[in-house]
Amino acid sequence: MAQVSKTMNTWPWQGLGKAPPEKKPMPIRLKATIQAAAMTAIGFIIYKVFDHLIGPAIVWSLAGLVLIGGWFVPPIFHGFEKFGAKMAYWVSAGLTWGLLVPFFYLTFTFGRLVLILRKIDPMDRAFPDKARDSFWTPRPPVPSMDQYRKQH
Amino acid sequence: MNILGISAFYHDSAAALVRDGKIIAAAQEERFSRKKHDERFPFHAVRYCLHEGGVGPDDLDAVAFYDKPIQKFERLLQTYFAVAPRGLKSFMMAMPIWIREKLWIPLEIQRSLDECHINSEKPELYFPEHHESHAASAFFPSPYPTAAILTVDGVGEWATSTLGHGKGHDLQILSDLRFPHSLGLLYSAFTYFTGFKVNSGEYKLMGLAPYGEPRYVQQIYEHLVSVRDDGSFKLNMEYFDYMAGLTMTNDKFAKLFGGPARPSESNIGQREMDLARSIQVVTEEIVLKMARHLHKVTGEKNLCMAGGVALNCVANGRLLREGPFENIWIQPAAGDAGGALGAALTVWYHVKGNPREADGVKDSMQGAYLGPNFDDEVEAFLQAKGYPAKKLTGPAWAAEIAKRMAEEQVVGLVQGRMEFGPRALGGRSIIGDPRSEKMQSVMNLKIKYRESFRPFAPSCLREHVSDYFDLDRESPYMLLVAPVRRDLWTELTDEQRRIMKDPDLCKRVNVARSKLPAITHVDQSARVQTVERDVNPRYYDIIKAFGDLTGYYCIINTSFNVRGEPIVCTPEDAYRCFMRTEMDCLVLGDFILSKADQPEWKDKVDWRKDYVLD
Repeated sequence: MAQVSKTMNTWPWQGLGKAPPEKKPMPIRLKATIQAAAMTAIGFIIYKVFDHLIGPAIVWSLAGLVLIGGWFVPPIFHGFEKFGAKMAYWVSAGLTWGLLVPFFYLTFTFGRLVLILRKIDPMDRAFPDKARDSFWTPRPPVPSMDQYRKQH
Repeated sequence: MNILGISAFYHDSAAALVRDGKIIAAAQEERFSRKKHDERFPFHAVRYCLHEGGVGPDDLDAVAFYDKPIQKFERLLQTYFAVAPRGLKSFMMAMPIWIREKLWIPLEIQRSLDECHINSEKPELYFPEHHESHAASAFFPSPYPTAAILTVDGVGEWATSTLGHGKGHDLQILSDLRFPHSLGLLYSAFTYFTGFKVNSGEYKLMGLAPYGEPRYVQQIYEHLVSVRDDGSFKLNMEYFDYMAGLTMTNDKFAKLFGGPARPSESNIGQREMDLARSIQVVTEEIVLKMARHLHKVTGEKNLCMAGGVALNCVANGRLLREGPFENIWIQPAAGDAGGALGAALTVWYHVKGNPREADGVKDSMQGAYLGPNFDDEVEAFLQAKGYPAKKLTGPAWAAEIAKRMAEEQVVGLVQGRMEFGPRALGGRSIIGDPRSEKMQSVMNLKIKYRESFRPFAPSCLREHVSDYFDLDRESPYMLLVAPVRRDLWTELTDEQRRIMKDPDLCKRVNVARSKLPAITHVDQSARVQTVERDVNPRYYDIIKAFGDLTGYYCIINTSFNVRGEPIVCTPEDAYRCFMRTEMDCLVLGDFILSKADQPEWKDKVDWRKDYVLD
């Protein structure tokens, strides 16, 4: 019997432009159980590392709320989820700004200072630059075809 | 050998498939995703190209990305070194995208191939430079064995314009102009300042230019751009903001031109028209100087062009009339989309050293009809949806369409393969009667829902082009503007002359300036497409039938979309657009649909909100 080969590149044009079908969400109880277990484990690690009970107790209490919410009171669980998503957004935004802003000012402002002191302008902004007859920059031939394999 | 070319992450992402030097398929992502100028990784376009080529899991040999991302990143960092402490906002917007996506292009390619069930371990990855990809897209598919190559766009890695020389399968970039000194960005700055969208509204600025006077040319040369005889130039960056800020121009620029930028969608005034004309004149003069210098350097009689500025068909027409080259060939997908094709061709010809044949006459773009063809699927589509349609074939099909056009009906046409590039060339077009005085404003306001000042382009039979236009050669990709023949002009009455000076553009548009008023721009010019039977026989037949009926072998051709929408791709897209507008008739392959016969169409939401105005 001839083997039916797997379709390689089916191109479902009739579905183009439509949003992809949504993935089936994980059941809320399973999700709550996994999250509560993870929080319990985190609480345990905190307890072991810091040998202190207050922090882990808070985490365990929250894990309990997540578990109860997920199984019996869904609005509580959804509230936790919303809070978690918001917190993740603000943490990532905070980290982005907290890291990139100092990086920008420290690196580029200092770098610019060095360029000014050395009288280098990578953007060649002198205008109208009457001394030059042409602004074309000659290009040497590409030294080797290996250059085409590189991203730089 | 199968080579997949990809361009992505800036605007107009696209994919192209080249097999043993032959172009098998090419398409822009926007046509599938329905997001205009879609810049995302072209997953749908990749999938389509592989499908069209029947590429099996182990059949893909190479993937070429159209630029060198690390060089681009380096240019970005150098820019911040040059403007700091300014530039924070731009940096904060750019960095997360670079860190998340743009620095990991091999991984994106691998993921895309995996999803298409292609063995992603096998293909070699190549990264030609941005302008090299443009140059390759211009030279390798051209008909010329040897040619000078000019590429001009916004910016690639560092280069903004390049001069090159192509001989056989070899292509050398000879020299370049570098960021921030860019003709494309200068034009975009004026696009922004006159209230149009950058990377999208440049062709509107070009269309607006004939309404204005070149009264700002001197100011531009004095304050903004310093040009040398060889076409090289520098911009005065004190007037531009695109290095550090989120806008193209700054307050100093606004002061120079007597006030702030025109807010988008507000009334277009005489200043905007004059600015459009002035920057158009400056652009043409710079391109002409570049071409003369390139001619001197290479000694070639043929010129190939690509890059976004090569889509400026008014400048191209002037270059043809006044420039030093005997022949000009312009890549129809001259913008970044064409980079996908150029990258793949670079690998086949330049890197692998395969021989190239060029007969000096025919290019290898196949009329730019490189996208999907749904003609065989239309019947099933119509049956499934229950849309009434009439099936016609052969001469009766063309005659019926011609008859409807002659009755001033507006016809949507979807037949054959979709075009690659920004122009609709008879595969996904809206067509109509160019003799009709009301057609320009009907099509603009009731079909396309776009600005009334914008002109429409003509498609005419190659052998009749000189009957209507001062043009003695083919222009298959609608990339040349030529004057309408003097004997077709109509003498304006005093009243019409008065109207032609009216600040209201709508009134000016409605003045019939020639016997083909719908395709004649205010300066008596037209953006011509010539059609040959062996390239697009069905489109040719329609124009021929129209000519046999009316005596004019020339029709209106505009892209099949509404403002802000990508050109339609599938029969479904076409039917939706047909029902949402006041089009009278839709042709889907062999089938002709009349609006009056169709079931009532209701949108659940205001569909105009689906599209971001361009």
